[in-house]
Amino acid sequence: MDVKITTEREKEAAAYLEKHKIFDLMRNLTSMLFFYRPDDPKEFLIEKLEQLKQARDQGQKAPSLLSHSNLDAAFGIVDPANERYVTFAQYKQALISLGMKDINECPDGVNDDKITYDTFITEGMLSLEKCSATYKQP
Amino acid sequence: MLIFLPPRLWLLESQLFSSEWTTASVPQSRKEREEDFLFFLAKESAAFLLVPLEVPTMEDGVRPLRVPPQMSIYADQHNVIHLVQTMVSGLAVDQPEDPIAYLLLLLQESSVHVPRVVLLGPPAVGKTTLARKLCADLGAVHVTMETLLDDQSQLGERARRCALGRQEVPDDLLVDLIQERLKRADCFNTGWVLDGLPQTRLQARNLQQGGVIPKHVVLLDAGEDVLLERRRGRRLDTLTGDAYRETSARPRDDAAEGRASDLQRHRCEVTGMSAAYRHVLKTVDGDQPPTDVYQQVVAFLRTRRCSRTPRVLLLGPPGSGKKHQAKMLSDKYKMVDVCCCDLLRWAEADPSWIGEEVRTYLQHNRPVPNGVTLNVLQERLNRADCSQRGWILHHLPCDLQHAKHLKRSLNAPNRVFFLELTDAVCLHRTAAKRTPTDPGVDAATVRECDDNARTVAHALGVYRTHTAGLQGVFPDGVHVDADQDPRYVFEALDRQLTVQTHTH
Repeated sequence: MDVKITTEREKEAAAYLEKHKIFDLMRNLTSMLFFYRPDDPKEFLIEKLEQLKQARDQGQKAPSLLSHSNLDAAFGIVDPANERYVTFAQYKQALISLGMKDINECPDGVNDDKITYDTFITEGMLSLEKCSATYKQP
Repeated sequence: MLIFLPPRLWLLESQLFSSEWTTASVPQSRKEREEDFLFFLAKESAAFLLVPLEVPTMEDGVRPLRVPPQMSIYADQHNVIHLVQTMVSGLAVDQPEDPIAYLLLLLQESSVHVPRVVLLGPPAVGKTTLARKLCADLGAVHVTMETLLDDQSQLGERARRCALGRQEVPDDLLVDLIQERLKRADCFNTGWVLDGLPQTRLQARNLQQGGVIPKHVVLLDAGEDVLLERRRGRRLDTLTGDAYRETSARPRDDAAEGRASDLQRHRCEVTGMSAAYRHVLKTVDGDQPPTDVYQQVVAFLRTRRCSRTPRVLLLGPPGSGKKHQAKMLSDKYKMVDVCCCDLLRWAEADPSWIGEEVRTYLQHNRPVPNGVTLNVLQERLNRADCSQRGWILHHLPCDLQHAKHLKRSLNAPNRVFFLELTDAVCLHRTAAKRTPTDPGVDAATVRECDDNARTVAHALGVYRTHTAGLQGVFPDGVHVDADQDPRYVFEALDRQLTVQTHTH
């Protein structure tokens, strides 16, 4: 009997953490913390959590470590010859390495295997917003 | 490579957690694992601190990313891991509907240091006296069986009915009652001290599952005769009206039996409960004067389990047992044992740039200059195995230059131990190491021994001249008396390694 209760309790906790995207939230927060290394980590976390709360309630942009310039630079890495095109595999790998999930498998140009710079940036920003919105979707 | 690099960093701090928990027996059986709900939480919160992600390269290949040491230093300084762990365990246990608001509350109230103490011990050992004093000083809420029975809630009613009916309060009712009491605002904000509860291992487990997880558990212990003496004394003080108990024979026997059965019950349960709370338990001898007991408990409460990459430096005169202690500690915590004497040998065999440099000197039979040895040390400590598992360093060359360089670098040690030993004992120990056991010792060996004795004496002299300087470089170094059995020295070092005292 006791065996079942314990496992249930653990399952409940795991399910709760999954539903509210707590691990993603913690990942974002700790990445930002370790990158900026503020003198007062608690104040910093409070600030980021407030921003996240506003993003959730008022539809503003959630705080995240990466931005447009990072996507730009990532594109630059995979496209050193400056052709303004990358293959689908490169596009996917670059976004995965930046930590994105839910990448659009069918962006514009996938049929020719030529993802343009603009498509890359647009898809990247969309994925970034999804990753930063670490709260339960209503 | 480009400078844009803040990729999503995931630290390889899971090793920290495993080194923390290897000291306790790793739960093997299902039963043990069930009881360690907190272990599960710690694992879950460590689970997301995983292996670093890969960086895309031009060849479509991937390369694992190494965590910069600044991050691990920052983590240690601000105790980030503990903060994150508190946040995740709070969320997993309480499961609030709005996690963001909950976290904001948690961080703003800085309730990370709220006292959550459980006092265990046989009857009449002095728990209540201690608990009252603690609550008065820390401002926490004192919770005992009596206060629970007085509680003005539905559960309290039912408990009172059981007590009036001379029945034992059933386990699940008791656990629910405790949970409810501790979740109320006053306990949540200012902390609590549970006196004499839980009574059994089963209750402890159910409490843990219900989210009541103490940060410190104190077990007061005393010999049986001391306890019986105190109990008798207590009876005289409080039961002034019941004079008949002293004269009539039968009630005294019953009372004596009652005492003995309480004690026996405690003795049966104590091993189970100590095992359940083994991660946060401390045993204090209840047979001392109350002020001493109080001092020890308060000192214990100020310590906090900290998870950090160990970077330990052992300093001491020749013969103080540095190598032995380093080996024992590195075996226990899976740290890397770095001996400065072997550094050059390691560098010689190393294929990288530092190995090249060292080899050129050794090939031409030139002594390796100080600057190069400093670089070798830094390079060794920067390697992946040292920065991930932590290191314990000993036999540092006795000059302040090495010590200062180490302190200023990114690999500054976070624990420094000075092993104290008098000169006479040093010489005795080093001589004992070298003395051949063969009784047929000839003149040449004796001369060799004398030479070695002279080198040891010289090394000792050098160490003594630099001691004051070293203590200046590492002002928060801990002095440990090395003139005892190696096991005691090991225990002393071990204790200092895993606790962190905080003054606020």
